[in-house]
This record gives sequence, structure tokens and C-alpha cells, in this order.
Amino acid sequence: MLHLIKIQNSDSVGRREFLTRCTKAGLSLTTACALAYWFYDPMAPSGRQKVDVLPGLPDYSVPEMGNRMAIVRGTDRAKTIRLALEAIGGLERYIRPRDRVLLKVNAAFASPPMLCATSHPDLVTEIARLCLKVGASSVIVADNPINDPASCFALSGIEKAAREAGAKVVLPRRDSFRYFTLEGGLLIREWPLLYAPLQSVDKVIGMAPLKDHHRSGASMTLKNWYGLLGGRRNIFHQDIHNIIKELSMLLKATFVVLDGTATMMRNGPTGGSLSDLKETGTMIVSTDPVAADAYGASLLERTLDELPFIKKAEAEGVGMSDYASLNPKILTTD
Amino acid sequence: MGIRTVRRITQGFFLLLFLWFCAASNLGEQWWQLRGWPINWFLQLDPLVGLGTLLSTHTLYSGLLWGLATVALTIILGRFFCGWLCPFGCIHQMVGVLGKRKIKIRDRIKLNRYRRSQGIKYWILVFLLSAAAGDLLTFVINTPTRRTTVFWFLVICALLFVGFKAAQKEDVQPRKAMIIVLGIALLWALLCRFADIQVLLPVTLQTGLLDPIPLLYRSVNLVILPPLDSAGFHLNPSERIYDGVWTVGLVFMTAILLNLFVPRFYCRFICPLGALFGVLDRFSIWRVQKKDMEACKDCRLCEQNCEGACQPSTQIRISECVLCLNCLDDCPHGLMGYGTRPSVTGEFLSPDVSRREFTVALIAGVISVPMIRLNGHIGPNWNPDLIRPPGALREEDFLTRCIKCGQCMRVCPTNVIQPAGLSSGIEGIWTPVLNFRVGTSGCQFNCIACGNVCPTAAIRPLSLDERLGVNDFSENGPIRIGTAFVDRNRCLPWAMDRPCIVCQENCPVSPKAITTQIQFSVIHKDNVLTAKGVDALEIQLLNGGFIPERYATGDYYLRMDGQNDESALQPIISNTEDTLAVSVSEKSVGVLSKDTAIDIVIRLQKPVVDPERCIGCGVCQHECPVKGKRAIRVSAENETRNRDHRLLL
Amino acid sequence: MPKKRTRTKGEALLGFLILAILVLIGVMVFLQQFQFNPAVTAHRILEGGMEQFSSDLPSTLVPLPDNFTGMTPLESFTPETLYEKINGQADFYLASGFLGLKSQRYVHTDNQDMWFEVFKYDMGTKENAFAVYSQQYREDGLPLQWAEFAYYAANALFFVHGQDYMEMRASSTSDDLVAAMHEVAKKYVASHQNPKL
Repeated sequence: MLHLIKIQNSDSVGRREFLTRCTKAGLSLTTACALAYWFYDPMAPSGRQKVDVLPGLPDYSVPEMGNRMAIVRGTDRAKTIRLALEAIGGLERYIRPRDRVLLKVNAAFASPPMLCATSHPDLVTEIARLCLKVGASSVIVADNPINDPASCFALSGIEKAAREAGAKVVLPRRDSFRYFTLEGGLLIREWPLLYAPLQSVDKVIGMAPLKDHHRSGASMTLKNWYGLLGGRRNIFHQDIHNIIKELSMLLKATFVVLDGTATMMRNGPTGGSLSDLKETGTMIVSTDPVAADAYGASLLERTLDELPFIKKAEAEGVGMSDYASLNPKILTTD
Repeated sequence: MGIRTVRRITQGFFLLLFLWFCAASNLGEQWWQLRGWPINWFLQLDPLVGLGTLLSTHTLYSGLLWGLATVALTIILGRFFCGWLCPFGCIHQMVGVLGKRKIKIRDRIKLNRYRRSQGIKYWILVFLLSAAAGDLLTFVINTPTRRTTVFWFLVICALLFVGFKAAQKEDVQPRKAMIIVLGIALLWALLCRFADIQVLLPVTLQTGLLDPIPLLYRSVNLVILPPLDSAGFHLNPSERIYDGVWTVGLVFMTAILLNLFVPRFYCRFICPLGALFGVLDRFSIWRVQKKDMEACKDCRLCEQNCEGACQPSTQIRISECVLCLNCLDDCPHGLMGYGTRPSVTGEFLSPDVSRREFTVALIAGVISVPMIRLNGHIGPNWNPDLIRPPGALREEDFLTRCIKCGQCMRVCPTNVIQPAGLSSGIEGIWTPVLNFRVGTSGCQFNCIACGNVCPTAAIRPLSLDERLGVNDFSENGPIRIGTAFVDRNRCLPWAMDRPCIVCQENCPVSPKAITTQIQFSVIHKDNVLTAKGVDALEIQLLNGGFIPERYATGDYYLRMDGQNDESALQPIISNTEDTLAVSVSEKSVGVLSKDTAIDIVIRLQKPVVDPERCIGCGVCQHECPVKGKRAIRVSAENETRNRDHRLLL
Repeated sequence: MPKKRTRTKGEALLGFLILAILVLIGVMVFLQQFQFNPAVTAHRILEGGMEQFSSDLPSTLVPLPDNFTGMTPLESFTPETLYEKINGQADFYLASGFLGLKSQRYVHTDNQDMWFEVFKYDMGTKENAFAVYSQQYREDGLPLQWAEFAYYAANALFFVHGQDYMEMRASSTSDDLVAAMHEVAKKYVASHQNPKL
């Protein structure tokens, strides 16, 4: 980088050197001025954080199937779900060939399957298998768990179950989230949602275990969408029923599966003891999550008044809490 | 009048002007106060502030445009800023003169010889600027995915260039060179395809650590002026305290005292601003020159007072010359001049920095930022004790602007803005943080001084309307810098059944953000008092032992046994060791008979913070009478500047 | 050591040029300090009791006689917005340390044509207030006794009250109106006995 100017004796060389130097100085000067002009900012930053906000999610439902619901009694999840899916018209009428399917499971906690705090692996395996069987090109399994994601999926047995069925678990990463604003919403405003898995699929199946929930009263298919929220979502515990309502307005799933094979009657949503569970032996599949939750409430021995989010979602036109009006098919595998 | 005298006058003028600006940086409208004095002018003239923030924020904020004038003059004239304008340089030069006393001319010449280590300041410059250049690098690295055409254009250009070179020279192997070019292109493409560069290369602005102008502002504001305030000059109405400021003082003192060993030590070896000028002045039109070689006796007397150590006697190093022009007078043969022609003995134009040194400094700067950020203080590991002044930007944006000049700390009328230690990581050292233990009160909720003196808008200039959330800003609400939390284990009414509510009284928000819950607590729980005699409104007690007038504060009430009804409480108006007097009320104490059990009850107002109204000003924390660890403390929860810190829906 | 270098005229000229630039910088800095930093203005408002930001604003600037009432709401102007009210004349006040203007119009309850407007310029100090008073002094003004610096000219009253420079302008020169205006001014001065200095 050393640069040595040779000693100049003749005037003409000196003059040429001077002119070159002046040109270079002029160019530097121009560059400096141009840069300053370009980037000059007379105003201070506004202090508002700029985020790209998406207005909503695609509708994943299959409208031509209408509202259908099936309630199947039995203890073997694989059997009950198969029967229930047949009862709502057959899975092939919901999942088209080459569809990409997302199973939104509940993998919130790093707890073993037998505690039923998370979606049951048997159910994950069966649904994933069936989807692939009717021609789905891929099945992914996702959630934004409360505990460490990798351990949640591993300990809940969901990861193994998905892998065995040929589905793939997608763990949430920092760049999996996008900001959303729900039109007319008060809570979902510029709030991050787990978008990456939703973005890449054609159909969404919500899979929720039937649980007591200390804050909201019950955790069923509507509360299951809470697992899509990113950011510091626990501030929504200050208004839990309305956030569940707004989530139900934001996401229209293909259908939901409410697993009431064993119900966590108390100490939810984590449970922790088998004594918290009650064998209720019921599998509910519904295109209407409000109806599914309304039926689930009866299994949990709660009234709808104790679970305001159901009525709130109904008031927004998400579904019907009077599940009987859907003429649910009630079947049994035994 | 010789040019050297003019230079001295100029230096003195700017030093005094600088000191005046520092002294006048206190809020008020007297002629010796803030008024409209352009107290940031030196910071604005400093192009390193402008360049640093330009790299880190892609903007050149308002007054920093002045830096362009300095750059322009430097390109034309050389490092005039160092020798003529820089107040820090002036101080160095004065101290350096002291150091040169009684030193023989031969030794002086030796002191002022050029040293290879003068290149260190360029390393520092490159290091500091590359730490601020993460965004620029991201832009470049992302070219293959974001600007594919440009990428292919560059690759094709490189291949053509290689081909051209190969055709010219025999010794270039075209195949090997092509493979190298394509290999680099492939690596580049892969890097930006599979790595999130934005996350990889965060940005921090650290030029202020060593940039002489912020350094001097900081030192004068925080080290020099506070003792003067205390010593009776009263530039500021109250005594000023700055937490941990000895570190600032240490750097300042070291920089000053080193001049006694080597004149202008800081300027020659450390100063990144001087380094920037050293890069800019290589094409300068006018420069110091030796005019005649034959007449020169090589006595090197020209170097006896050379401030920049730029060896004017031989090949002058243009990048080191600070235009002190001492050589003009010191040359006994009048051979030195300042003109447009190069020196007859030749010149070194570029700084003495090898390519390897440059690369090392660059890489070190780029890598150091993600390394510092590994401790997560920008993300989940954010420090709730880090209360930034109102209007401060979100932490990661704040750190791309703050130059640690201490202007906000100086101007803050309550002295509550303090230099941070390591509370925002090593990169946040000496940035402003609020410490409610210090100062004359918390952050005055209708003061906007800090943001309006901040030279880089790290604290943005709020209007009073925006600060208070009124008029145009009524939708946003007031600016919150945190939220106060009552520590119920330390609070006098909560924990110790003592009346207090100093915090509630001092809360400046209207309506108050601190409300009180009224609760009654029984004193003397264990030994139930028994009435001995009742005389009108005065009750004699069997077992007293009170401190006289202890219960006469208006907070204490008398309760007859069994009665839990609040309206049955009788306010105590005075007491002696064994009597209690109650005030007149409809329910006469006449109902009291001898041997009735009596409780003394205190009416407590227990403070509760309403987080929707609290702006985190810390007045409550400052005033809390639990002076050690305060019983009400502000943490950065719910601060406006970061939506991720919000507490409430 | 003999100094061989002779100083050229050019050098001396350059020296003077540089010194002239220094003087120029000094003057610019001096002029700049009149343009108050917004923080200083806000500080003044702070000391002035936050009137602008509290909901219980006094409804009128001056004590009114019974037959007068507010015609416009009380308006406030800052150094940034002063020109909205008085356009080009703003610079004159700004250069003298202007901090805030409050103004309001009052009208006679029975006669809509009889109104007057009060301007209260907060100049920061009494000296500043006197400066704008004296510079605008009308030669034909009639000095008044109830304030230290006060006069009446044509249809308007001008006086200094503490750090405030006050103007009251009537819509006509009718005796009733002018008399009423004098009353208001006298009452105002009497009721604000301890102006901030």
C-alpha cells in the first residue's frame, strides 16, 4: 500500500501530477457530497417499529362438504379415528391427491404420552398414515410448544410417531414467524404467528387432546390454535377468551379432531398424574370446531357458561355451539 | 503576524468555544445556559460521527451534515482539523509543549521521528468502522440471492478480467485462475443461500469510545465540570454525580499524560478520527513541502516541533501531517512551505498499513459484534434494570447511534441520566442509563432535554406533546420508560404497618399512577389492652407503656373488642403512657365500660401501581424512604421503545 | 537561531482571512443561541405550570367586565408556531428570546362590533420584554401611569408586565371600548401583582 511519488524535476511532469491530483480530489469531493446528499435525513427516526404485517390466512376448509361431525366411542384411537373419518364422508373427500397437509398437534409440553397433556402419538401416526394413503404429497406436524420444542416433540412421542408414518415434524425457528393483524381484532394486531408451516400447505387438520385448562377452563380444538402464537404470547393470559375467539376467526381448518379417549379432568393443562385422567373413550371429528368444543365441554363436565370462548367464537360466526343441530353421527367401535 | 500565531489563536478559540459549549449545557435560558447554543457543533463537524452512523443506520442525521464540510476541507487542505480545530488536539499540544521543556533539540527531533506504530490508529479506525458496517456487508454478501443479475455480471467481469490478464502475461495460468474465480463465486452464493446474513452480522457503533470529540465531550461533561459545579462555580444548580465515571477519567487522564512522554501521543497512535483524515487527505491540493533540495543541510531542525511526526525532512508522510506548520518557522533556511507542489524530497501518500494489518482489523471488527451479541442482551437476556431516557430508540437501534458523548448526562436537569457500566453489555459502556438512586429527582415527566441535545438521535428529539401523549399524540399515550413495582416485603405500609405513601404523593402523573388500598391493621396484637377507667373522651388503661403521642398522628384508631365494623373505629387524637384520648364522635366512648378489651388499629394506605398509567419516571423510587434497596423500583417492563417488552394487552 | 524565512504578503493575508472566519463563526454562534432549543422552551412551560397540558385552563386571559365575553378560545403559540399567528413579524420576537404567545378576543355582549384582542408575549425575561416594547414604541403614544412601561396609541394599549410584553388592540377607537380596555388592563396588572421576573 505504500505509494511513493517520484521526485519531479521537470515542470510539465509537475503540472501533470498536480492536475491528476486535483481531478482525484475533485472526484473524492463529489463522492462525499453525493453520499451525504443521498443519505441525508433531517428527521429523527419515529420510534415506531416497522414490521411487515399480513392481513390473514388462507381458508383451509372444504366448503362443499358442509358442516359434519362424528362422535365415535371406543378406546383404540386408530380404530375410532378411522370410523369417525368415514362418518364425516371419508378422508379422501377432504384431502385431495398431492395436497400438502399440516397436522397442528398439541405438543405444548415435554411430557410422556400416557399423561395425555399432548396429542397422542397413536393418533398422529394414524392420521398421517391415512392422509398419505389418500394421496397427500406430504404431511407435516407442527406446533410452537411452551417448553423446548425439540424435547417436547421427542418426549411426547409425536416425533417418532410422525416419522414412522412418513410425516415430518417442523420445529419452529426464529424465521418461521410472520406478523399478522386480524381485521376487526383487538388482540391480534401486528402479532407474530407460526407461519412457515401454514404457508407451505393446502390443508390443515387441528388435533387437540381434551384437557382441563386453569386459565381458560378447557383446552380443546379452539384453544389449540394458541400454539400458533409467537412472541410473548403469555400476556394474552390477561384476556384468554378473546384471544381464543380471535384465533378461531383467523384460522379456518379443514377439520378438527378432539381426542377424548382419555380426558384430563383437573390440574390442566399439564396434568402430571394418571389420576387426573378419566377414561371417556370418545373421538370427535368435526368441520366445526365450536361444535367439537361444545361437545367436549360435556365430557369435561363443564357448562358452556364456564367456557365463554365457545359462545364468543359462535357469536363471530365461527360455528355452532348447539352441536346437535349438525346431526352428528354417533357410532361405536366396540 | 505569522501563520503559526494564527494557528495558535485558532486553536485557542476553538478550545474555548468547546469549553463554553460544555459549560453552557445546562437547561435554562440565561446567557450562560443552554438557550440555543450550538453545543453539538463539534460533534457535528466530526465526520467520524457522521460516517459511523451512516454505516450503521444508512442515514446522515440532520446536523451531522456539518461533517461534510470537514471532509471537503480535508480533501483540499489536509488534516487541518487536527492541527487547527480539534480541541482535544489543542490540549495535547499544550501538554506536549510542557513535556518538551528542557529537552535538547537533538532529543526533540528524535521524539518527533516517524514511528511504524503510528499505523495503529488506522487499525483502530478499520476495526471500529467494520463493527458498524454489518449492514453494508450483508448487502454485499446477499448479492447472489437478492441481486442475481449484478452477481452474474460481477462473475463474468471477473472471468473476463482473468482472461485479459492471462492474455497479457505468460505466467498466469488461465485454468487455475478461472477455477479460483468460480470457486469464490460458488462459495459466495452458497453462503448467502444457506445462511441468514442479517442475523449473522449485527451492527454496533463503537467509534465514540476513541473518537476524540465524543471522548472529550464525555470527559469534560462527566469528569471536569462536575467537581467545578460542586466547588462553587454552580454552572449547574446541584452537585453532579456520575456513577462509575472513573473509567472515563482514567482514559482521559492517560491520554493527556502520555503527551509528557511523546507529544501528541493520542493523535499519532490512537486517534481514529485522525486516521480517517489521514485516508482522506492523500489527494490534498495544498500540502507541506520542502521547496529546495540543494539548500537543505539535512539538519532536521524542521522536525524539532513537528506535531504529527510526519518526517518533513525526508519523504514527508502526508497522512500524518497535522498542518501545525511549525516546520515553516523552524527551518533555518526557509525551505519549508505550504503549497500545491509535492515536496522535492518525495512524499508518502497512503497510511503505513499493510494489507495484512488492514484485513486483520477488518475481520476482527466484523467478528467481534456477533461475538458480543452472543450473550443475548438484545434479545431474551435483556436487562430490565436498563432504563433508557425517554425517546431512546429500541436497544439494537440505539446501539447503532449512541456515541457515548455524555451530552444527555450533562444536560439532564435532575442528574438521573448516568453512564452505563456493563448493564447493556460491553458495547453499551458509557451509554445513558437512568439511575434513580442518583440525582435530585426521577426523570421529570415534562422534560425533553436529553433527546433535544442528542447529536445522533439515539434518543430522539421528542416534543412535549409526544412525551406526554397529548394533542396529536393522544392516541399513543405518554412515552413510558419502564414500570414501577412495589416491593411489598420492603414497603413500610405493606410490610411493617407504618404509614408512608411518599411514592403516591410524589407520583407526577395525572391522574396518579399510584393509588392506595386502605386497610386496617391491629397494633398490639398479643397483649390486648384493657380499659381501666373512662373519663369523657379519655381512656385510662391498665396496661399502657406507650410512647407519649405515638398514636397521635391521625393514623391510629381505637377499636372495642369484638367490633369489626369500620365505622366503630374511634380516631385517637393523643396519648400518654397509659391514656388514650379519642375525638368526639356520635358514638361516644361512653359505651365503653371498665375492663373492656381495646385494640389500637392503624389505618394504612398501601400503595398500588397502575401499570396502565405508570410511565416509569422513577420519582417514586427516588423518593422512597427505604433508602437502601428501594421498596418501589422501576424496571424496563412496558417501555414504549420496545413492543416486545410490553406488559399489558 | 536566525530565521531565514521571510513572511510573504500572502501569508499575512491568509492569517487575516482565517481570523475573519473565526470572527464570523463567533457571530454565527452568537446569533444561533437566540434560536432556543425546544428543550429550553419546554422547560419554560414546565416552570410556567403546565397550563397548556392541564384540563382546567383558565377560560380567559384577563379579568373581564360583566358586559364582555370571550369571542374566541384561548390560543397558545410556541416559537415553532408563532408565525401562524403573526407571520413575518415572528422573527422580531424570536430574535428577542420569545417563548410563548397567548391570545384571545373578547366581545361586548350587546354589540358584536365592539371587541378587542389581547396578546400576551412571554419573553422569558423582563429585559427581553422591554426590548420588544421599546423597539416598537410609537412616537405618538400616550404614556400611562398604572404600569412602569405602558402607553396608548391609536386603538391599542402596549405594556410590559414582568417578563410578558402585552398588547391589547380594539376593533375601533370608540370611547366606551377603549375605556373598557383600559379597565381590563389595569385590573390585570393589579391582579397579577407578582409577575415572574
